[in-house]
Amino acid sequence: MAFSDYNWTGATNTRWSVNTNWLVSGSVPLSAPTAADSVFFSGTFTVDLIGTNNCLNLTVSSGAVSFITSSANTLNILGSVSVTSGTTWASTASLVFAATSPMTITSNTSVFPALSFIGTSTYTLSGPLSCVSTTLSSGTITLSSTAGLTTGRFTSTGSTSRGIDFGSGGSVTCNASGGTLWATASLTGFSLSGTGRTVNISNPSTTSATVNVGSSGTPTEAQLPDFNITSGNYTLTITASSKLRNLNFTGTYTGNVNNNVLTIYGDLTLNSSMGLNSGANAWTFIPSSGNTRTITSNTKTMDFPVIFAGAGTSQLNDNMTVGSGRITTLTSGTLSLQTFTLTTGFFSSSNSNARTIAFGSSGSITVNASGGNLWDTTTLTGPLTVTGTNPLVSVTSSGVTTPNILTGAPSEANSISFSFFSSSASVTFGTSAYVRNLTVQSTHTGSVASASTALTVYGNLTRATGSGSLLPSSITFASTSATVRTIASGGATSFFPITFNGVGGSWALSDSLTMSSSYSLSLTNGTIDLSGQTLTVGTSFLTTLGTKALTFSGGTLVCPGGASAFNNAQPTFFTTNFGTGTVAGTISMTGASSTFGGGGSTYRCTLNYGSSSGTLTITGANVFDNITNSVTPCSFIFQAFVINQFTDFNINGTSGNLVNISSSISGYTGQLYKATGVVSCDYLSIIDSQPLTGASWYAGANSVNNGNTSLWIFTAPPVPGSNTGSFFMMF
Amino acid sequence: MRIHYVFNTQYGDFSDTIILEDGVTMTEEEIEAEKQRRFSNWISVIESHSEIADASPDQVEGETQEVLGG
Repeated sequence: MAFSDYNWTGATNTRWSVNTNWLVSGSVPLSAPTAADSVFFSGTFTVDLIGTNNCLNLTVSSGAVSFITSSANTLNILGSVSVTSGTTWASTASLVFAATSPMTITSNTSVFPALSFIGTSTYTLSGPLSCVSTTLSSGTITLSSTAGLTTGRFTSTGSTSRGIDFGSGGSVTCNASGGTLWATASLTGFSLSGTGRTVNISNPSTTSATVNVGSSGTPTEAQLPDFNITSGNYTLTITASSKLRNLNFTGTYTGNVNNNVLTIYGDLTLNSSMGLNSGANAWTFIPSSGNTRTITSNTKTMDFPVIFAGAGTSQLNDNMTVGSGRITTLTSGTLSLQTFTLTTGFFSSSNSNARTIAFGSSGSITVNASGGNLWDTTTLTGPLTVTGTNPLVSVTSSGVTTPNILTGAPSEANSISFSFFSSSASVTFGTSAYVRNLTVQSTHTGSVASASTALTVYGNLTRATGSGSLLPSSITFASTSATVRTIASGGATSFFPITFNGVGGSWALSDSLTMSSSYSLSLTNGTIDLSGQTLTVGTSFLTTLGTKALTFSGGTLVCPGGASAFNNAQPTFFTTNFGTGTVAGTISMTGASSTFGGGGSTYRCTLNYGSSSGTLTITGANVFDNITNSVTPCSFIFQAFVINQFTDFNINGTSGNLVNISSSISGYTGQLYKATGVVSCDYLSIIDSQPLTGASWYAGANSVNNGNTSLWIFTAPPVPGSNTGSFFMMF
Repeated sequence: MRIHYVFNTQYGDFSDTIILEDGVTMTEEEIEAEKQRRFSNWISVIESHSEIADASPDQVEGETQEVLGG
């Protein structure tokens, strides 16, 4: 094929297709230009593109050419285009770029008509290009930071290999007045390269606009551009099932975005002046592995379901609110809260995928639906990893239906704190619940947990004064942390058994803890510090197999029960501690017929009996700081054949109300020992009781000796300094 | 704020602390009423187990109070 350079003369008329309007090497050619011929314009002309026309390269080197079209037209260009700034194009003109080798387009600010790229090669913009619309069916459009494409609409369909090379910061701007501004439903064969990869959507009208990105098929993240919704006040529809990388509304856009199912691989940035329409269609965030993608809400509520998935990190850049009737789901990947709060009606992460909630230094989640499973992490395999300083979920609900919290059974390390506030609703858990800290604020007046729930608390338990009751079937404190956990019941009686079972754990009472009479307290592992408060157990205080301790710090353990009121059933590795302060602690037995099953341990406290006319039986060869009675008459029965040791012994009766001291087996003594000094009692009635050599044991002048009481001295002790006592005077 | 108080009884000390959340206040009367409510609950729990019928005020031998701070 011969290649010719056609020079426009317009000698006959304005039509491109008329051969006599052209000169080739100074002669009129036999035909209009073919696809192998380059065309040149130099001067001021009007050129009508009516019909189908062809050329290789098109050059307007000077002057101002007006390309018009009086009817249907197509100009097929197989080469490059370069026009002057004065070149104009009818908006109805149609340019088809069909190059099979790399070409360039130089517009010099001339606004092009509809462009269609069908060639297999690359078209490089040598500068900014504006056009009515762009259809990319094949080949690659190459942009750069100084050569962006501004097009009313952009369409790319089919499956032929095609794409956009954004170079270093190139961009596409779609600025049609409503309608579909970006249409890439199928991205099969579509590729993106370069940096930036930004598409700006700038609809200048109030007519609704649509963006369709990969709504059919399953494009990869690499095929997806970033979208900036830069300005305008119109309703934006992002076609259902679209996939996007970054979606950015940080410009002056003030319209509403319709609710459709969307997948976002990148960052989402909303602005405070825009609107998000409510709906039931989820937005899913799918950051890829190794990527951290951010969500910036700027106070906008997402009143639709939100799903966090993918293998990367979805990170909040500010507080995020999902509608109170909507669910937020963590399917996989990491949800990073940083210092922000995610507020949502429901939160669910119950699956077998590896996933993480990173609460950061002060991040939190608030669930606030009117009822149902506000929190659901029933299935934790995968696992669900929890990180952060204080993983906190705050719960409030109007309680239209019963709000329910399903924690699953996390380890201590992956446990989460729950705090209930601003609700009169009664909150239930599943059959078992595992929490870090459990807080019931004063503004939550409904009950928390039900009798079907065994509750495990790894951290602090705080029930504010006046708040709702805790009503689980049981509570197990299971901290293994060196950090002391605190327990504040807020003045409520506990209607459930309590177990302390955390190896190495320790708990301190912040206020008194009173258990209803039907329930026992079990100490298996860890240390309870009464911290100056009163702990009142129900049926019994029971030790079980483990390493455990009871620290008084001036507090009182009250055991109102009967035969097992205090039952140190597993004394091995059981210790008691005086604790802090100078005030001695107390174990107060108050049952009418109580047994202190000491188990032979040392008690760094006072053992007091306080049931008038009652009997306290003490078993085991124990060691006490002190023993007292706060009522008379009453009875103490010490186990026969064993020795109980005392630093102080202060059992006394009153006139007419003697206190009985005896042993558990008639005729055999319970033995008492105090190393040095004087024991001074009175108004006792003693039988089968034998102090051992050490201190002098004075029963008092008003006491009664009923036999088998060797080493009890039934007189008052001598007055110090007098010579009337039973002292030997040595000279 | 933490308000620590103690009732001395035959059953031992009822030693307790009223803890007020930040921003929550109670009048002196409300505090006294709360102390009495808690103490009465405690007495009734003990006596329901101890089989002592009368929870007369005579059993309350004394009370001390300490405000631990807010």
